[in-house]
Amino acid sequence: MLRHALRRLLWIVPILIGVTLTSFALLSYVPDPAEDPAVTATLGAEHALELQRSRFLDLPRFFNERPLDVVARVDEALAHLAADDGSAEGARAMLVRLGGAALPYLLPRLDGLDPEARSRVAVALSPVAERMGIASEDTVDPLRAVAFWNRFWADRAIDFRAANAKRAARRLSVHGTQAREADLLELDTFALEQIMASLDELSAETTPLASKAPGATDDPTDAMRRLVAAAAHVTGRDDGVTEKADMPDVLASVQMWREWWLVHQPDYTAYNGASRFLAMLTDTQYAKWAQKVVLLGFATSSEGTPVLEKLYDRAPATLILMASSIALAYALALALGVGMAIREERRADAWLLAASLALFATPTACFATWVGPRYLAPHGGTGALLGVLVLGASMVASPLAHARALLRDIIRSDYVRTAYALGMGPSSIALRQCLRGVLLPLIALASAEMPTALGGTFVVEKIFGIAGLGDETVRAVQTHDVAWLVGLAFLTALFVTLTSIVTDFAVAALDPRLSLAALRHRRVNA
Amino acid sequence: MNGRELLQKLLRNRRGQLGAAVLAVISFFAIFADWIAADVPVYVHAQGTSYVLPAVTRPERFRHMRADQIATSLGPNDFAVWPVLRTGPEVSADGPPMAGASVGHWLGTDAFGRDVFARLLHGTRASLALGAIAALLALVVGLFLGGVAGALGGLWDGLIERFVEVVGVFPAVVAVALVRALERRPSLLSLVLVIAAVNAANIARLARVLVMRSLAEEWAVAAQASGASPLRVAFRHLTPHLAPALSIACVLAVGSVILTETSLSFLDLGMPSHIATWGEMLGEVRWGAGARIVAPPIFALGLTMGALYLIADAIRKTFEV
Repeated sequence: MLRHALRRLLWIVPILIGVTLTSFALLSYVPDPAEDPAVTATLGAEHALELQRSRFLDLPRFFNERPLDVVARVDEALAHLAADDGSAEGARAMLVRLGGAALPYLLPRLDGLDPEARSRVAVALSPVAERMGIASEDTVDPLRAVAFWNRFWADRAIDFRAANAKRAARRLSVHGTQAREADLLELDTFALEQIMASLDELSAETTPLASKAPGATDDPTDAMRRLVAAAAHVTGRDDGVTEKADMPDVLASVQMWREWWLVHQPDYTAYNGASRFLAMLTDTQYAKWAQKVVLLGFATSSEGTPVLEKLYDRAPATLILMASSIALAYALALALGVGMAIREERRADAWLLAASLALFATPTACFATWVGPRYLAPHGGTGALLGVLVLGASMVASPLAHARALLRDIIRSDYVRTAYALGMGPSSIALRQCLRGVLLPLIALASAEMPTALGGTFVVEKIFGIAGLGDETVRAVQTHDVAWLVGLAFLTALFVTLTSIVTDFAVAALDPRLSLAALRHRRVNA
Repeated sequence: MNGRELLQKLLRNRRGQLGAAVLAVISFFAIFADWIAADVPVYVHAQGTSYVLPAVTRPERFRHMRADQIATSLGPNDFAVWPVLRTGPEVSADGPPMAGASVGHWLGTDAFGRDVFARLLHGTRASLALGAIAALLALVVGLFLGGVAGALGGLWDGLIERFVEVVGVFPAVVAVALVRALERRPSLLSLVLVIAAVNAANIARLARVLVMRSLAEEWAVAAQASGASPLRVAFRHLTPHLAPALSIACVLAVGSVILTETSLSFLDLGMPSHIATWGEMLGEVRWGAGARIVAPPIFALGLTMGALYLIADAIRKTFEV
């Protein structure tokens, strides 16, 4: 039994991955609002591209056979600049954006270009020089720019190494003097990877559980503020925090930068060997999304609050509403079914069945809108209770129908007849003989009820004003919020699987012969 | 008992007969909806050409014309056979929306001024078809998957069971909403497919447990030991155990299509299709539709469910020893 349970628990992982894969695949084929021509027209081409990129629409879904890193982007930009074709303007902007991270792959190749292309590239880099604080009239002069950059590379190539960038980022976070800042800024975007790493470290320190690493600064807020400011400077993004920003603000900003980094990281890092193979899998829509989940707690929904947090906030209301309705419906069905069967009241039984079918056929939406305003307003606060009643009423039919079918056999079985012959009263027969036989299949049925009951639960939430998952989900479907929807599917899947494991245990505890593990065993032996 | 005797027993069941009769009446309205309420004649003879049921066969000529326009366009030698009521399910009446019952509109009109009675009739056709397709699809797929998993066991069982779980744990409303967002033109296909998938998962789970349980019984082992072929075991020994539970599951599946559609339209999830269905009518609750509009489809749905349940009950009784 324990082995069976363990196996079930382990199986949760592939199931959940399967659920995220299917829901993701489904979602990725839904036209994204960011690709809607009407939207792109109002935003302008550049913004629209950025928006699409932030939703990973530029990446393939599950496999990227040619991941683009900074080297590939430099190649592309150089090709356009050398040819001086229609895309040359875009290539210039691209080089400026790539900045320092591109220099190690760009400057050594300058000599290989023909003289005119060489000076075009060198001049294109002048905004980068400005950003790095080393601009002079040399950088804008086509005749001298090439020489400037060659000299720059001869002097500074040694600085463009990961270890140096790491040291610079660390120094800035610890000391924060202007000289340190200048050190870091001279590396430009090349230092971004390390800045991000330092930010990760620092924000990990701010969590209350983290023990202080030796040599850590006393107040990481200042350090984070400085690092964010540096990142904002080299990328030209206006996301730096102000001097007066306090801890939560800074943390929120850091969170935003981490998300940005997830999207833009390939622009500033080079893939080689193993990391290229890895990137084939990680530079895909699915992997990026999964990374977001792992790094940022189900990522942020389009409103900016982490999905995990919101799920945690909202899910209990929905789950409690649904679970208590299901429990109510099944308990009612069980009691009614057994009671009717034992007393063999044909007429009452038929009426009961008709009533349960009528309740089933009345959609929750209609029933709730009818009940809601009638009884809700005068007794404020009874909304949840009423919701449970309405939702439970609509779910009685299915367990009742199943219970009746099962009980029919039990009542006519030999052991019940024997029990009667031995002088047992109807109530003890109901409790001892009937209940046991019906309970197990009904428990199994109840555990599978949840995914279908979710729709009705949302409706009840809407009408009775219960703050659950419903309105968020409706919003997510309308705005195409992948993070929320996959999070919801994940949550449901987790809950259902856990329930079904518990059910298995309950069944095995109540009647060991009927547990699936036992059945499997028995068949093998047979 | 052989198949012939079983069939006789099934047909002789009083409850089953009642259920079948009710279902036949409902189906009659579904099939002849165009004869009872439509804005296009049942038969038109215009300018030497005859059209039979132009609303169904959809000749271009009458597609964009309303009943009165068609009537005035007819020449002296032309004639048309009109349905009992000259209002279709999609046509907005001239009167105010949400009008009460009148001679022209037996059940009044809805929020868009469409005739409720015509929508109910035409909705019967769509809803029954949707429910039947979804239930049949779910039954075939679910029985196959569950049967294979339960009978073969081992690796197949594990694989199918995982697959079924992945499909089964997905919230139905969200799934339909997503698939609807996928389609370029809103249709009811997504609804049917998703509901069928969810129900197929349930049926597969049910069938798997039943098959496993039945095969573990002594009589099944005995049948196998005495050389019965697997197919024979399946038909002679498993069917009586599977049929009662599965027939009830199918009845509930028919209802769940309509109920899910109602939830969807109530929550404003996904683009609604423009075909009149019971679910769509019930969803009008969100615009404040009263009992006059909502009660007829509820009644029709309840009646259908009851009839189907009686038939399922008859099936169960047939296999009872």
